[in-house]
Amino acid sequence: MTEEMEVGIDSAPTVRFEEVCKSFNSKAVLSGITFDAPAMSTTCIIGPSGSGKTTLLRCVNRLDTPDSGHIYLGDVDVSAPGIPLEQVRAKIGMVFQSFNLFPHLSAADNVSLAPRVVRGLSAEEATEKALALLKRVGLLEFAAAKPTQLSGGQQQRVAIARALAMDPRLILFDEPTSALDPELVQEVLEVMGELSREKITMIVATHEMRFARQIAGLVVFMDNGVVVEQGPPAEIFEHPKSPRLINFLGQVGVL
Amino acid sequence: MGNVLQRLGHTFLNPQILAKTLPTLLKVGLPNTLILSAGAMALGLIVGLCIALVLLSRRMWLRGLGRVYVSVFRGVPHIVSIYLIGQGLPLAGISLFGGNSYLYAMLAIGIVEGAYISEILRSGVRGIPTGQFEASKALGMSNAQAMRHVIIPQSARAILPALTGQLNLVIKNTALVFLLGLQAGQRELFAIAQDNSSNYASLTPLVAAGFLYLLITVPLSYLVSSLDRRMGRSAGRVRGTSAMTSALAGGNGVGAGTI
Repeated sequence: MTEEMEVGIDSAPTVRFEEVCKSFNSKAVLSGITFDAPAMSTTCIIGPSGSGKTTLLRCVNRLDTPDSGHIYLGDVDVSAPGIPLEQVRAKIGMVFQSFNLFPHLSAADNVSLAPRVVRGLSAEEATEKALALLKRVGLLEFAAAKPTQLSGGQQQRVAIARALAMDPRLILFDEPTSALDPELVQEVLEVMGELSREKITMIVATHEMRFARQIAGLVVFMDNGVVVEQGPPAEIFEHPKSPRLINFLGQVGVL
Repeated sequence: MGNVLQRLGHTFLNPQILAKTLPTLLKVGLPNTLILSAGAMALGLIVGLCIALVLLSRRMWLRGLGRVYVSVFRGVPHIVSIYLIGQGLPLAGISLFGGNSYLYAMLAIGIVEGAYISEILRSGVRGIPTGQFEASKALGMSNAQAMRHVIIPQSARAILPALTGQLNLVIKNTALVFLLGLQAGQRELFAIAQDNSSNYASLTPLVAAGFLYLLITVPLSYLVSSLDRRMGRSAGRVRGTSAMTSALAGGNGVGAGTI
């Protein structure tokens, strides 16, 4: 590991996927994924469960490592061996389907932990930052609450605040609303919608077609480990070309 | 009938014999048992922690070595391990502590208990959902940072009961040091009780020793469960419960699929 190597992900990067392949137990999950997620824009990845959306996101911050191919954040090839992983990850936010909040810490401590531990902020600075972020996601009054005392939607909003606490220029959302009760989905999507107006690159794996249509700059349809179709939402949702996309949109009730 | 009662009384609870042996048990046996226990526990925890890290290592050969250690010391009777370590080491010329069997005994018990404790620690860490590691990693934490701030605080509560049970076993296993031969002043509770029992042809000293063991082990258990409750208050809820509630609340819950 070359810890000294400075990773230049300081402005919101374009994320470039080049022929990304990944198999688990010789079952191909990603088979040559190639597309660009534009900088400072929201890219929504849609597609049926098991299409490889989650794995693709996990390859970006290297919770999984691609077997072959490259993923560039700006100029940095994050799929290269020997890349300083911790440094790269510190600049990429990730929001998980199952929230993964730290259950032993309060909402505020969940948010302030990484700035304190990874960035070396003082406890006061980190807490101040955490409270500001909790306010931003509308949860200031729950700063002292433990995750178990929060609803799923609130937990996911804390998780978004936690990701924002590291000032990421890129945020990965892995089906952030799929584990939520329907009535809790909207509050999370609203926070994400607001975020999308900032100078951040967002890649969102989602089943929320309305969100994709309204917010995304680019929609990528994946099926069975390949990108079947991509384009601006108007094109993807109004004029789908491939039979697989037409079929999928029919199944989710958009067409 | 009276005869039977008298014999029972003499065998298990003879007041004169009790009066004669109790002072030695309290003055010599109890402190020695406590010192041996504390030393063996400290060593067991250190060894256990090291082996647990080995068992959690990403290197397969290292994990393999750890497994061998655990299998051997958990699989061989304590009495055999204690003989082999406590008598074997000095015999083989590895006389770490000269002729002091007391310290060999501490070492032997620590090495054996380390195997059990490592498994408890390992399972504690393994019991934390992988999502917790991943969330820590995604925030840029190193392995050590994730362990220290996320994993260990959560597993501490889960392993406390098992760890207490094991520490009680350490205390009881200190009785085995008599095997190594001790000087009079080094004898712990059991050695003194056993010597006196054969001298007086009555088991009264052993009964007394038994009570003294209880005097150590029972308060220890209570101490730990009160600690457990205190941690519970400061930690909000039990880890297990919270994982479960979030699983219930979240539908797909903890450790969702990777694809």
